Amino acid sequence: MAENEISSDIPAVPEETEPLNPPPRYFVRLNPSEKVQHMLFVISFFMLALTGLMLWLPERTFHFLGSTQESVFFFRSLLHRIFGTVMMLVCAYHVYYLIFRPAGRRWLRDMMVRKKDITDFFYNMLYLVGIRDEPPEFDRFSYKHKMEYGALIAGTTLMSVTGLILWSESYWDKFLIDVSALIHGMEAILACLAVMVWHLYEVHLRPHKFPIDNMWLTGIIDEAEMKEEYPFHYKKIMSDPELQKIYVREGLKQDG
Amino acid sequence: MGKEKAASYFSGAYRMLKNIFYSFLKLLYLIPFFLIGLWLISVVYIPGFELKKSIPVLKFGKDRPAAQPTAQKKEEVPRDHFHMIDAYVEQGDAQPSICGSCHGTYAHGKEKTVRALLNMHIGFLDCSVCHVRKDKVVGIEGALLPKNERIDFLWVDRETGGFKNAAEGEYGKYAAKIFPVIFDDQKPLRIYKPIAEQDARRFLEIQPTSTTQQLDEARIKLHEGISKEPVSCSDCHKKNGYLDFIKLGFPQRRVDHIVASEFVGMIDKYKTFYLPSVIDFRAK
Amino acid sequence: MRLSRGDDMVYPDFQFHSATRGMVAVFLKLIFLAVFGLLFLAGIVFAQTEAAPDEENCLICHRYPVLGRYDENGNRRVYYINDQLYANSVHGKLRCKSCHVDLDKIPHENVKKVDCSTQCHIKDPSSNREFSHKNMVQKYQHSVHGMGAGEPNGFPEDRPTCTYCHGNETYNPYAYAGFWGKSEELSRETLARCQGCHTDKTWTKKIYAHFTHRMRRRRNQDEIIKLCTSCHEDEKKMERHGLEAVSTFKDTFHWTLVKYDVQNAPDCITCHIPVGYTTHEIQPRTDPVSPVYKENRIKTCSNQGGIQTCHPAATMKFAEGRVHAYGTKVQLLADEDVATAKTREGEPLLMARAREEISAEEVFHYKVLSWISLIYKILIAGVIGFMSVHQLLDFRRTRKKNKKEANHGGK
Repeated sequence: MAENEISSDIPAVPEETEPLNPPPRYFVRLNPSEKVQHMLFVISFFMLALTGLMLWLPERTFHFLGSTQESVFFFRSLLHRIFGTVMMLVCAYHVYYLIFRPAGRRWLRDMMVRKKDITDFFYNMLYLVGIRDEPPEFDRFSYKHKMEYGALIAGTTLMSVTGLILWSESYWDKFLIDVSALIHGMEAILACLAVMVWHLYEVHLRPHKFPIDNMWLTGIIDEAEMKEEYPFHYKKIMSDPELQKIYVREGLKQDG
Repeated sequence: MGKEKAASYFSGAYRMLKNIFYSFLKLLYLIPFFLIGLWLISVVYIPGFELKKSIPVLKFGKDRPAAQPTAQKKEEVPRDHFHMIDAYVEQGDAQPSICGSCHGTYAHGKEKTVRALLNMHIGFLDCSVCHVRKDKVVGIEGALLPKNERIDFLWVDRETGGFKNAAEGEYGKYAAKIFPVIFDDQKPLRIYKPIAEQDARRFLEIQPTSTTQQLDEARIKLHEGISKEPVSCSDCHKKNGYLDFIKLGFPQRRVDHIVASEFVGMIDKYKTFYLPSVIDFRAK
Repeated sequence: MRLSRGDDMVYPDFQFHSATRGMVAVFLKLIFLAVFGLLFLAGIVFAQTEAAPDEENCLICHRYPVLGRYDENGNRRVYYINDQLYANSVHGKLRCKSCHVDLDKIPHENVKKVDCSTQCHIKDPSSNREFSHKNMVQKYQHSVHGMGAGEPNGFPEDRPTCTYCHGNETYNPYAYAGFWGKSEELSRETLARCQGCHTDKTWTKKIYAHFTHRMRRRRNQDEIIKLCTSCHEDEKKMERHGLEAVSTFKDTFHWTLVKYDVQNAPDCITCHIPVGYTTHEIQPRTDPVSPVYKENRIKTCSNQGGIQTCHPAATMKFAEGRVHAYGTKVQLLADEDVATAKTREGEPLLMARAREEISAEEVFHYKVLSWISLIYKILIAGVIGFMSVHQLLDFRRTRKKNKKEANHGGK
């Protein structure tokens, strides 16, 4: 019942009751570059979903617009292509980032699937069902993140390839276009549903997070949350001064 | 002690209210996503699901006349009638005749040569105008109608159902229809209805479960108020005929036209074909 | 904006994007106003009504709305004529007996069906002979819809007649209601130019109406699709002629454009009777003259007489493929056991035709598409189902935990 208490109380507690304490510590989850990538991806994903799903709306949905609906359709197509391009560029930059930037390489290393993820997954399932009392200790990226990231890579690749084929329809075999159209549509539905169920739950509906997890804007989380959600990573950072330089910020929530 | 207890009680209530409010917000947030999700799932698993639901309505061009296109029965695509039918074909009626529910809009079907012409009169005359003779109301002979009451004819407005002495329009396109009306001396009281509507409805209800014998008997009983000999063409289409056209508000020119020799000539010709016998009840 | 410079046809409705068309209308309006302006404005008003020349006195009965009867099949037959509407229609100058021949007696006896190839007493201005739709009827009879080669399958009543598609439409001045407003005035101004020399206003108006009427499509995409599918969606009707019912047009992207009322959205006739072809001579797709014959497809997809260019860069590979999604015939073949796939005696016409028309490659394509669709259906159900369960459990568990912690904290 009291899931919202902690989040609402935290800002007030450290300053008023223990003013002599050292300034609170924050942990970086997304650095500025990653925040921008995420932001661009969110915008293009939303716009692509909006302009794409419009195709399936029932007949006469926009009939009240009269002859304007032709313009609606025109801009729908245009925006879909524009944001498709934006998304592909973001992904291309992300690949560059993963390979040529130290932060990106760290990201890639942490994102790799390990044995721990598989055991984590089973232990967490047992925890969710109620057999185990404590959740497993997650590293920087838990199995949830890795599954989602993997799905995102697969999905974006499929969508980009089929989308480009559909964009340059005239040069291809009609069968290839049919296949592309089918995959593009089905994958879109899968992606939208998955984002709605998996991602939006994580950042909006999860206890503590409602109405929204600000991390996507600030890029940082406080110590309590870090301990709670990524204990393994927390321990790793605390035991390694190099990592502390990268991940720990002290003072007010200002940058990431 | 009491104070603390009250405070904790108060904070508990506050917390509960806050939680309820948050749950409500979450629900509000969830509903659109839930609906979109359902729709997406329906797109995948029930393809064409929205196609069946929406009934396509033909748009007859922005610049076509206001006339209502009339679809012919059994036709899947409503198309324009070749001869530009307008809304007058389907005029509503404030006092719809019960006859139509069995006999249809075009009640006359037996006599091939004149059925269309007889049907034409349905557009402005109620069935009982011709099928009940005002002077020979069956079974009445003044017994059912009080001495001071009599039957005469009046226009009844199609929309309001009110009585009118005259109707605007021409050639069968009137905003009113002629009915036999019971008059108390000079004052119109009500529309005269030869068929008991309740009985007619009952008849329609029992129709599927009754034997032919029973139905025939019921039919005869039902139509007792109908005159054996309806008013014939030449009764009206002559000078000083059955209907008083002047009293019904027709201009003299029009009356001359109705009783003109060309009409009468045509009617005389029909006489050889037309035998005003019993109405064909089974025709539909 | 693509303007056709060819002398054969100009389709104003086909060419302009709505906004440009609106602007053109406004522009023309301004020019006309400047040139002819007030000189003509005062004099030209469209006559709203016009009575039909009822020289045969048919209207004495036929102007009554409820003139009619039920025919033997229970269909309503309406014999009513609205003379004012009729006079403003395409056939408005014709007398009744021009088409309804031999109706001299009252009551009418020996009523024949109207034959559109009858010569009517209107003089064709080009030849000064009596006008007739004979040419069109003859062409039509030799088309796939016509009865020129007889009815091999024995269902002549399935064939569309002239009036199944054609109505007696009313002439209306050219008016475009678009984004920039209504351009009824455009018509008025254009007509004013004509009437400067052609002083017989009724005649000029009629000719003008005739031209503008012929220059635009009378049915929008939706109506065309409805008209064609009124027969072609009827499975029984199609099956007895060895055709598959059109049920898959609405699976295509072409339909999506129709859904949004896009001006040049592809409907049935865009591909099956493109610019340069006529409906009356429509042939099956196996006929080399058909626009959807394999060799002709590139032109149909890419460039229709220079007027409409949908897929300007279409290659043969692209154009050859199947446009409608796979339908009944492929399904029939795909469902069939390969071992028994030999022509059998007395098998349904549809199956025989399917075997003739559908290649093994197409069946394979159909199967691949079905597999992909099936895989995705399973994938979506599995993934989303797992996710939902996972998140619900997570929600429940996290709440429980929080409650416990809150209780601990409280103590």
